[in-house]
Amino acid sequence: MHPVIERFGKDIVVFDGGMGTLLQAHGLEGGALPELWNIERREVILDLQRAYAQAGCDILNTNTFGANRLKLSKTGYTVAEVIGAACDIAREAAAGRTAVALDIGPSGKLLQPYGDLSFDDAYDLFKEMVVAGRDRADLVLIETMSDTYEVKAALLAAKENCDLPVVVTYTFDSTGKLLTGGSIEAAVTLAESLGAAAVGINCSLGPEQMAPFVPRLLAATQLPICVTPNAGLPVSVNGETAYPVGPEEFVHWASGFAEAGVALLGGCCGTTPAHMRQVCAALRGKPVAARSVPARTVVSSYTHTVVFGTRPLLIGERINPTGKPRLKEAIRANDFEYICREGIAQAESGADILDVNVGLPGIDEPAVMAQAITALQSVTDTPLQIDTSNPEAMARALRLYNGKPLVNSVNGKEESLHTVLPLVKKYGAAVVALTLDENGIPNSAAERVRIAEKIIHTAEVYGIRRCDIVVDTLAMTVSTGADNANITLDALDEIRHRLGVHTVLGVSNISFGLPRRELITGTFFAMAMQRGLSAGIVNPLSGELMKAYRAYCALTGLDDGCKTYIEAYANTAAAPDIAAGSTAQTAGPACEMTLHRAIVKGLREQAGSLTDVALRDTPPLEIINGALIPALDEVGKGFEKGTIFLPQLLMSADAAKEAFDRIKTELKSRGVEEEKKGRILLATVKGDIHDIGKNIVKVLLENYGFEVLDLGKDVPPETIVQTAVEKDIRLVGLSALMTTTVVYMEETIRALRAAHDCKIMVGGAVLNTEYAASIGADFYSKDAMGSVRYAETLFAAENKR
Amino acid sequence: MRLNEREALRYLGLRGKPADEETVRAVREIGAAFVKALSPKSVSRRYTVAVTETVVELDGWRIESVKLARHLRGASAAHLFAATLGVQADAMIRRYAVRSAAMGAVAHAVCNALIEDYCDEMQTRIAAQEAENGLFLRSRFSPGYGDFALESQREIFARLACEKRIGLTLTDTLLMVPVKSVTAVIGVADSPRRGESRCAVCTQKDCTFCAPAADTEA
Repeated sequence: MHPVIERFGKDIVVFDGGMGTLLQAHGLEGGALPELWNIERREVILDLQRAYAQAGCDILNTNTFGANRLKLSKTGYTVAEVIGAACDIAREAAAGRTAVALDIGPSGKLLQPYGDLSFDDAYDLFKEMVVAGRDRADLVLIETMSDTYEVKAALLAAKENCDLPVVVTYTFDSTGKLLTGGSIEAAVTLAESLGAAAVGINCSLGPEQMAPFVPRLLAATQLPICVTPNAGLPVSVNGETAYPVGPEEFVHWASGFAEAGVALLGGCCGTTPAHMRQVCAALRGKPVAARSVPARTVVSSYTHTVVFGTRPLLIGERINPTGKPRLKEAIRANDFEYICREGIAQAESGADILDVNVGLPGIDEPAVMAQAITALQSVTDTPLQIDTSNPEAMARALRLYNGKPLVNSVNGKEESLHTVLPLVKKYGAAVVALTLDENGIPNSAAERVRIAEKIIHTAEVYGIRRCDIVVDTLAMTVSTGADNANITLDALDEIRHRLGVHTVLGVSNISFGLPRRELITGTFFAMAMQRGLSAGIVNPLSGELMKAYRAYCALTGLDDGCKTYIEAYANTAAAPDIAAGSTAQTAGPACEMTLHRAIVKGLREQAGSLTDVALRDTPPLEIINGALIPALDEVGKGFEKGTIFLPQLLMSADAAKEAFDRIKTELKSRGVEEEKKGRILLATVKGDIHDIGKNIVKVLLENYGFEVLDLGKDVPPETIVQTAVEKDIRLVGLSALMTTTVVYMEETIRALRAAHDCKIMVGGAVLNTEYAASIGADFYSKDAMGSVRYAETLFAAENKR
Repeated sequence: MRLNEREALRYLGLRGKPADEETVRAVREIGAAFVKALSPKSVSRRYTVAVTETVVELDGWRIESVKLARHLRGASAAHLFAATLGVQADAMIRRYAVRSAAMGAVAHAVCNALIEDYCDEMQTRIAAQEAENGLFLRSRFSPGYGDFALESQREIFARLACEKRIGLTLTDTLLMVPVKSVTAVIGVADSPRRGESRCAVCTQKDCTFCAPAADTEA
């Protein structure tokens, strides 16, 4: 290990300064790749790096910021060549004294689900860079990052392919956010959890603009903090970009950062050897100012952190198929939209963290878990709790999760300890520890505490800090043991207060088998919080439970001015006590007519409840044919005539969908299989990421009784063909927005024609009837209703045959 | 950045016809949520240009496009311009769309209106700078308009360092992500020009979004 690395966090270490801006002064043209100069203008790079070494810098960053396979693709050079040359230059300039950092910048692509670069491809891209430079660098610097997901890919690539320490610096905008919306704390937490040696901020801002963010960086982690500003905000002088902060001013700011506790300093755009010479002269080698940062239990999403210990946290429990037939069906049918809706509903009801459990017999749990995590983190920024006993599913989810997750769970069994804890360590998660072992769940608080201690100890052996463990003392149903609640709470109290570790409980287990469960559950929840419960795994959609929670927070001073409580209950009346046997009946006259109107008007909730009422005495098919279809037809015709517009069409579609959902649930419970008019495959073609049109078509087709297989967006032709053949699809619908992606639509159509006999309808902004015909489609649909009409005609003819 | 409701409704296909109460309410509510949550970003750079009948020469970049050349006729300089609502917009749209197809469509339309408004705002600032020297801006002209090749995106992205500066990236198929984004060439000339229609250069017939002529003065 280079001696400089050992000084991290002890003495101030200085990185070099700007590179790109100086190369522009040497004639590098806007838009050209500075990395090519490692080969084509070697002497310029060498001179520059020598100047930084002579200025006294401890670390030279290789000129490899964008030396990845995507950016080099059309240059004729390989990643290995460019990085190899850059390392040679840096080594030569370092002259045996200065350390060399392999510099890795962003890929230049946005990762899926928003962009077109997959996490695995991002990992491979960074891995190639690491492998190319690892033998000649002393550390890896991942810098100018604006997306935590990319940092995760790069950090894993570094950690899994070399033993070098890794420093991560992010670029924040003037509001202290990443371009992806992440907070400073979320960014730092992710880098820390994955084993960065230091973390910090660089580029985009000058020292003055960075100053407000430095204290937040210093408070967010115990790791050494690195600050690498630009020489101020760029200004335009006679049409040229200039950076206004000179060496004196720069070192003034740098000294302030050092006094606050910053351990590593450097310069970014606009800084020069002159800037860094002054920083080195003033600060290099001085002891790092002491700071005290308490160890905290933190989990994060890509946008924010959730910290244990301020107020009790709510972990939403609803994404768990146990006892939920509708969710079971969704999991088996790969209906991730349903799972996403469950997630969003809980987050909106106050869940701080979402538990994700998709365990069902007979499914490929690792694959389903991976898809569920990916789908959920594309619609919600609430941190996730990965809940599985399948180690492979756990590993896949941990790898794909964009943040620091909570893992549910490890327990005191040897097998569990040595399977789960290595994964927790590797991916930097926090973990729920269940107080049970090979002998089951102990019947005494003391024994549960003993198991907790054993897990904490074993975790520490694996290098997991005790602040990353949250102990679950297991709520057992009180109806089967009068002392069950007491045992759980005594153990919880001791673990929270004597061991100083945070606690969690699956609260609702306590009331199993009892009437009016919410009474017991809510009261137990309040008792547990009073004894030191840090987080409850609960249903945040349960009114009773939330009442207990909000009341508790108000009574314990955790709800300032009882604001949240008042907001939730100010204009509500206490519900009358429900007498057994009587349920409120609100069935109005002429149900079908009312349901019809609710759908035409796009009133989703009313459509749902009216369907429930209608289902009590009307056969499902009659509701569909008597109310739903006529209502949809009325709206559809209005749309076609131009008297009704897209928003209303879709509101009606939403309302009808709600009604169909209720009918579907009812049919499921009666064990009746739904009848479908036909099966249609939909996809947005390869290269295209615009899916609004396809999604609208899907909703409408489903409402009209078709089964839709939605392959999503950016779907390769092979996948479409394979699915069409395997499922014997009669109608394929393809969407493409741009001329550049219609090419792939044409390719898909050609591949389909060669492999499978089916009809193909297409839609998208640049298409029209002639264009669609010219690429071989059977039908061009100018709007969503058009595709419904085409499908109806087609399947009516097919079904007659 | 402010929501132009009329524009959002136009993107929902209403073409100036009166919208129902529910739609207007949804546009307002969702629009307010986006305005509050988003922090749009832009980047631009000024270059001198030489314009002939068919070619625009911009700092060593030769753009062969009759439509662009016509649009920039008389211009001595041009700004390359890029703006994005950011990936938060994509995430929020998705969140709305998962819950409801109608809300998803409204969210899309609202963002289309917002990015245009944000571009107008940024363009006004550029115009103010140019006005100091007695110069005037032409309206935005984007790759993909007429015969201005979509491939030009690569050059614009490289010159403006869009990924690094504002987090705007290009897919292999030349789509922009985050999705609600705009790139454009904005000409600078010594005389103003009035009455340019944003839809005038478009070759698409029967477009759902086509603005009635009165709406489109630049």
